[in-house]
Amino acid sequence: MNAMIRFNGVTKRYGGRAALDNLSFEVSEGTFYGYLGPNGAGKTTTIKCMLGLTHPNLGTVAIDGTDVSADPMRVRSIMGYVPDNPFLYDKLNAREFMNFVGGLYRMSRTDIEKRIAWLCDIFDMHSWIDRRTEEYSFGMKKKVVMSAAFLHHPRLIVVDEPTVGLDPPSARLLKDMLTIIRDHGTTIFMSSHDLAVVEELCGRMAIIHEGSIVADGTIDDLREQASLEGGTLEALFMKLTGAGVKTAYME
Amino acid sequence: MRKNALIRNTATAVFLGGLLYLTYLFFHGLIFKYVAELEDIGFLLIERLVSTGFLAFFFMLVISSLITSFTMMFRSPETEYLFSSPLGVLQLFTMKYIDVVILSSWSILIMAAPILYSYARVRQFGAVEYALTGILVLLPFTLTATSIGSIMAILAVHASNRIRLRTLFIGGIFIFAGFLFLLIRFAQPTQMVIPFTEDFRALNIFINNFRLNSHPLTPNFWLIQSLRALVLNDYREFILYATALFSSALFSLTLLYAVAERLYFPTWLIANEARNKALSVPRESVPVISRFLTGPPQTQIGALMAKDAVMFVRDPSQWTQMLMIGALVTVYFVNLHFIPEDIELEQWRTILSMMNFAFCGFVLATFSVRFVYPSISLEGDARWVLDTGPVSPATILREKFITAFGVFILIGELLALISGAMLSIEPLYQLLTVIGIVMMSISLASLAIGFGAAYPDYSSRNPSEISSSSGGILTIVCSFIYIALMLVLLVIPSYSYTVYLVRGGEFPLFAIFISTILAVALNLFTVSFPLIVGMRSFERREY
Repeated sequence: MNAMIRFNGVTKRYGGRAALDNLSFEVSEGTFYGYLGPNGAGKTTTIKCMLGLTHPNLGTVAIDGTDVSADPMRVRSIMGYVPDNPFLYDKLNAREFMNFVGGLYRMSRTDIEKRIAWLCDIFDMHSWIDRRTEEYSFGMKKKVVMSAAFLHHPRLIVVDEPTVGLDPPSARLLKDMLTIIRDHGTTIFMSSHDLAVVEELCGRMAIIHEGSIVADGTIDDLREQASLEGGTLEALFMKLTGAGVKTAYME
Repeated sequence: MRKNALIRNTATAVFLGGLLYLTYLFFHGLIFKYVAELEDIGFLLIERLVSTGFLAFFFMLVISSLITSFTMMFRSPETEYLFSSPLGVLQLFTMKYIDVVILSSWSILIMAAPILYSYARVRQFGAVEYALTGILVLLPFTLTATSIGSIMAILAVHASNRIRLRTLFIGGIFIFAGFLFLLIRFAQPTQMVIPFTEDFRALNIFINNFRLNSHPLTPNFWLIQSLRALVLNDYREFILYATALFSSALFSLTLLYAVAERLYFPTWLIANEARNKALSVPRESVPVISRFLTGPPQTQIGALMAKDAVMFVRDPSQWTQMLMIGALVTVYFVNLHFIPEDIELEQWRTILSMMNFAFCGFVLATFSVRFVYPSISLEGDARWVLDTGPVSPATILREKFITAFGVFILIGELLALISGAMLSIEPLYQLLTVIGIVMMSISLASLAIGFGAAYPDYSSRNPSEISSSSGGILTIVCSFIYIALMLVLLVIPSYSYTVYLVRGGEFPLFAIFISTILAVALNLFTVSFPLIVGMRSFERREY
């Protein structure tokens, strides 16, 4: 299978601190990939490198074979991004916002309207799609941002903390939506603190700690790497990131 | 980054100081010094000009503080957090009011300071007199205007919670028209019409009317009277008029705090809660403006323009700023109406054309710093949509430029054509003005967008606050310097041509040629330099 995402020896420094330190990993096309790590591990920096929002000091990042630094526009045209904080243009309503995003992706008017209608049904947005986003709750904004990310039939979706701020029904809806998208062949890269969600949805995952990958593969691969047979993802995470040591110290 | 900020702030301070000095030189060297030499009427004319100018400043301050109060006191996201803190309502209000005073008055005081200083110099003020002018005269003048604006903002929001916004908007237009009527009434421009007469009685009446220089119940009247008292070392009269200014300021502030104590928190609460209530009220139809974004097929630039248009129309903190510019332009047109049509002296006609050109440039510069400069910053937290989408920085800046240029051309040429017709400007000067407006539109748009991209402030949602930053000040200063240089380049060939018409001699081909070359070079630099700086900064930004 082709690599949809390839990090090759990526180092990113902010001042004297390496946010990413010789980071290398691959995500195959069509995979639902989980990306885990404690706070400050480098998850957000990894996503920024993928989106071309920051440039590595060393190494390369390639999306679908294209170097992000060389052709960021081509990379972004095949990606959808769902940020952790769903900031929107507060004076637009959801329909206008999605039309705007569709325009940026050069979609036809017909295609935009069809996709909006479909997404409206999926996320049950009919009663509030024509209200301004300044009136929306956090969960409603998240749905709009998700919809905008799915609008242009992306081949890769990058999701940052997808279930934060969502009530249980909305979180379930989102998880089902991501699974459907994955089943249609879209690659999903999901960064999350929610180990349960990652364990439920992701076929493969990586744990990043202090800018480097400490484990990468299926849950069984992670158990083998952590020498923790039958361990839960939480236990694996704690051991591989050293958090378990701190807990023992507290006791 | 700190080093860049230091360089930027230093450059801004130097540019600003230079601009203030140039403005002072313009008023003192070219206008006041010349007019002061006119027998009997010289100083009266100067005081009349200063008084009328400060009357306009007063109304501009009121409108500016109304708009700024609306955004700072009711739309600022930090207010909700501050209300939940142990701060008392009046303490919080005081903090907000101080912000309002600074943000609404800085640009107007920058315009006023050199004029006041020019007057002080032509009247040969000493340091003590000048200090008294600043502290005892200008401060209460500013506080009176800003208090009135803030009271109006609180009452307007209070009323909007109880009556339909449409009704309030229509009422606002009538109140605004009333304001303009009062402004024109108090300015008494009919008194500026110079009678062509040989009757000395008519002339004496005209001169005596000048002594009044404004309505006696207006702050600008008290201001000019207190300055005149300083000149005559009549400290008793100075104290009288300074007391009038101070007492009006104290009265306005007392009224403001009485209104704030009673109405600020309840009004803010209702306005804040109204947003949540809106969800339960069904909307009647999709707004017409929405069709910009849901209508015909779009290019990327089309989508960006439609988004910006909808955001602008729906954001009161943006379009209410046009009230101030509208007031300025209306007052200008009214005053133009009273300028005699039969001015025969060629020099005066040329001067009028040049000053008209400068005014058109001033309006465009004001537009550029208030609307165009903040446009990139106002993308705010939602800028992730553009930053992660397949739209290049060049496309984003191109869209902003096209939009700004289109608006500038429309407003600038309309202003130039109407004022040119009112002044009966020669066709040649009118043509020069039209061409000049095109060049200015391109250059001012480039300045504002370039610096707006180079010095963004994504954390603020308040356009007044953004344009008051060091980048905004740098933009307005550079804009004014640019306009001044364009004026000089226009004056040189115009003056040479006027001399040629009056005295004959050689046609000033060389002067026209050199001025044209320099004007083109100036505009090429003004267009390219800010855009290059802005583009580089925009492309290099990291997260």
